[in-house]
Amino acid sequence: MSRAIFLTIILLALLVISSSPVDAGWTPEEEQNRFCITNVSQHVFHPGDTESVDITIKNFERIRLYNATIEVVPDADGAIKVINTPKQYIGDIPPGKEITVAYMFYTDKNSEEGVYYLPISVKWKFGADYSVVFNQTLYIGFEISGRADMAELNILNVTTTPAQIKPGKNISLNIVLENLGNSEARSIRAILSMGSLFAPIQSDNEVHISSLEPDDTAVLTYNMYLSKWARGGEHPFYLTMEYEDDSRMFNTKNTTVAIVISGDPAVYIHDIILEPNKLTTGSGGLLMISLINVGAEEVNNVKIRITGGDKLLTETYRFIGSLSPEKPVTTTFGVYADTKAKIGRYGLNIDISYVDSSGERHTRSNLYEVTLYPKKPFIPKKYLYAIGGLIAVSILAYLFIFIISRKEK
Amino acid sequence: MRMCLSNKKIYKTTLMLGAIICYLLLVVPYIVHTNLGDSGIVREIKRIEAQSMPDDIKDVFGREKESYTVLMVQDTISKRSFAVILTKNAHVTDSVVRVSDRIIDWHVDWHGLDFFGRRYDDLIVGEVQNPSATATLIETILSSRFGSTLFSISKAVFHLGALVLIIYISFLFYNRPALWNIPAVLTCYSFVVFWDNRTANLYQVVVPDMMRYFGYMFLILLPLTIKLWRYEESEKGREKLEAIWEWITSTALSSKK
Repeated sequence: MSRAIFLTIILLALLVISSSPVDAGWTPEEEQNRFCITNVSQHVFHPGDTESVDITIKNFERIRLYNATIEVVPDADGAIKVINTPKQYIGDIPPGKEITVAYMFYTDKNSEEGVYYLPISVKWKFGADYSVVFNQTLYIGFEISGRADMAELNILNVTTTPAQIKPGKNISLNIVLENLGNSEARSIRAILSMGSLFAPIQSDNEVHISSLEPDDTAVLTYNMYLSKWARGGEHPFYLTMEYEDDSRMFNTKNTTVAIVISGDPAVYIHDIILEPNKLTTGSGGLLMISLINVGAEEVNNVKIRITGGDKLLTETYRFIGSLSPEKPVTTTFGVYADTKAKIGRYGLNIDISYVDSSGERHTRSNLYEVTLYPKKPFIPKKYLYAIGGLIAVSILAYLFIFIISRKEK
Repeated sequence: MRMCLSNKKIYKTTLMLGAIICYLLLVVPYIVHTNLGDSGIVREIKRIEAQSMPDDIKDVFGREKESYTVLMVQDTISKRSFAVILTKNAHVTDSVVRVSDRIIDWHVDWHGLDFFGRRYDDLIVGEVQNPSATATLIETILSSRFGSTLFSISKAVFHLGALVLIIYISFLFYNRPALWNIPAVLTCYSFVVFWDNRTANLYQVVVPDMMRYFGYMFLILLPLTIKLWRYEESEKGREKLEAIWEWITSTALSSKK
């Protein structure tokens, strides 16, 4: 019995030893004061700031500390957050040595003003016993001091010279810029992305302004040539503004401005149908002309006048009115080929005139060929010749027979 | 007496040859002018810049030209004007030209394609060339003050000359018409039509088949005319002819009664 009790005691003792923290790989931590913060590069933040802060710690002991790590442990709901990795490895720190680590901090836009303490945990090992980890928690105080003075660049107006922009012309794009912020904007660099249809003239696509005070305005002027192949309609430009203000050294603002290009003459003949397609003298029919507006805007006062077909058409003028983009409109002209009209091919001159949205009048001319054929005779010519020949032969035959019979008498 | 008769015959023969030569000379202006097609005198030459030329005309050339030469040509007789947009060669004003090659030939309203600021009736895109020296001379004469009169005479001679000539010759020698006059008139017509056809071929003018066949008829009609003339000159023929004349006159008299 005593033997069994003895064995049980031994087993329990072994169990206790085997389940000890050292044997299981668990490292006990011990709070010790070995470090102090000697420098923090920035203490003041504004709501919405993203700043890099250098933190310097010093080993003030006379012994070397091994495998040191530093970790910022912010409160999850705190006003200041770490953007990069919170835990950084430092390595061995000789006695009296300073180590600087950099952290990127972000302050919430809605954070309230005040002083916030940020805990920093430093862990290390030292001596022959590497299994024991020591740590120290240090605190840094940061102040959030309210919104910083910022420049706010806003586009007030966009104008062009000339006001009506036509393809194939030089234009000036004037962008009026206003600083709505409470800080001066400095070293403003405004880059305009023009696209392939525009080419800068006598300058590049950048405008530089040294400074712009709050509530002041400045004009960005870009001179450019607009390709003649540009189609009418709205053309956007992407404007990038880089500047510095009191809050930070580098600010970027991207925005879009647009100009409206008046279309080139955009009304074309879509289709022409002559019915019947073979026109003969004395016959009638219809000439149908279909127009289409391939521009971007509606055109008005559309008219068609046909010249060169006075003896083929019953009317030569048609008023159509408005023509919306991409909607063909067909108009009809009466056809009657005068019996006195010359046989052959006629070149009908189809003149289309219209007024665009700017009030400018455009004309376009097209030639259309119509062939007038002679009317088929009731009796074909070859039959007439045959009849004539037959009559002549009959007369001759009659005369011959008549003369012979007379002579015989 | 014989000498006197011989002189009279020479005189009549000379008159006949003169009449034939006059006939042949007078039909020339009509034959040449009608077979030249679209021809006339260059009245004006204009260089039209590409931007002033309608796109539809430019499309005909297939390639963009910097400028286009346009001639205003006026027909010497009808005074009809037409514009020719040249594809290649240039010409000088007041020269005689004829359209030798055409891509487009349209009746147009000149207001729509106003190249000269004055009326023209047709627009031709193609090429012109100077006709032969003879044709140029005739066209130059026809463009003169008396050109229209000369052309009218020539036209009349072409259509009626053969009949008048043969009757004139017949009366000159026999003081009456003869049976050979009929094939002779047809021979003359056939010959001038043949000449007309040859001129038309020279200027690539299409000749109707009927006219072409009639043009070769003189080759048959001429020997027939000579044969008939000789027959009428013979004793037998003269008798027959008198018999026919008698019959015709008696028939005519009986029908009057």
